[in-house]
Amino acid sequence: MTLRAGVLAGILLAAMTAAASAHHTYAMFDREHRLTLVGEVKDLQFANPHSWLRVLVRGDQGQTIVWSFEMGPPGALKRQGWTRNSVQVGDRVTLQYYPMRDGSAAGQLISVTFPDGKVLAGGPTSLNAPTGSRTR
Amino acid sequence: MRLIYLLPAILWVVATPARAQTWEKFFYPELGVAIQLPGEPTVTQGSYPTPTGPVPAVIYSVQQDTSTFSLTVADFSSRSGDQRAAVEKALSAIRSSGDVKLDVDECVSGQPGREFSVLGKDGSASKVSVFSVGSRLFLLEAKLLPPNVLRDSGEAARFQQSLSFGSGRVENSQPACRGRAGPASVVSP
Repeated sequence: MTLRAGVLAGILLAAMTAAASAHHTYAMFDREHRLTLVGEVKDLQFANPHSWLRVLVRGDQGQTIVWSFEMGPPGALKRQGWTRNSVQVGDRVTLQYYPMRDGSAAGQLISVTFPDGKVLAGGPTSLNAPTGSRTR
Repeated sequence: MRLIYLLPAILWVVATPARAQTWEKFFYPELGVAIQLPGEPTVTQGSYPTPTGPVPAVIYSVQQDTSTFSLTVADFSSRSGDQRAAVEKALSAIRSSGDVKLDVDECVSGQPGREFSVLGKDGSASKVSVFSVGSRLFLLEAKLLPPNVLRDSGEAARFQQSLSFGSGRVENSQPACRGRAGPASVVSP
């Protein structure tokens, strides 16, 4: 009985994950590279088909740039441990993400690391390990 | 009084609303499309040029400082024979509008289309998407003007990636393509 329930839960989770990842392709993202960025949280918006985390980062010339990170849909994020209050405005966080191919200040979020060391994944579609790694 | 000292604060108060806009999702069930925008869009009834004459169109647009986010929906229900040519003309116009940084196939909510990132000769940057769904042509464009091209590029990406068809959720009863990453045609990364 327990095994059957587990199998059913696995199938359901796989189906939900597939649905969540099916909104669009990821052609705009360079999924061969994983970058790291540190910034202050501007806001988090739970939304379908994608939630978005905006982070303020100081640019090379001293200007403040708003970086936008695509996340999974709310249901997927909740399964990863996210709530609407997981981040607060001004929180200093370290992000791992797949960058945009055109160099825009955006990316697909892989994970967020909080000052206390806690890590949350950005969504079920970003858990595949990339082949490359570099730090911005 | 030294009102001159208050000038920076006054300017800050005046300028803040433009940058403090929050993003919202707008769903237009009559058009079967949803999009996220940094504020309530201005809706304009107009026309869309095609090789054989204009067709009715509605344009949703939001201006944020020097950046414009717009979605044009052209209705080909009375001129279905012209839709393919209009799509090809739109793609050609985008590709000749500047330095194309990205030109890739995209599949949104099961509907195939094309996404672009283009640097203009005037220093502007555009993210453009073209989709032909049913009898409608959807032309999405985020146009960023100097000096805020980098600053607003993340917002433009968000706008482009938020487009969805159907109910506005991820489901689509009859997908024409799969929302999985395929090989990207990166022109000049």
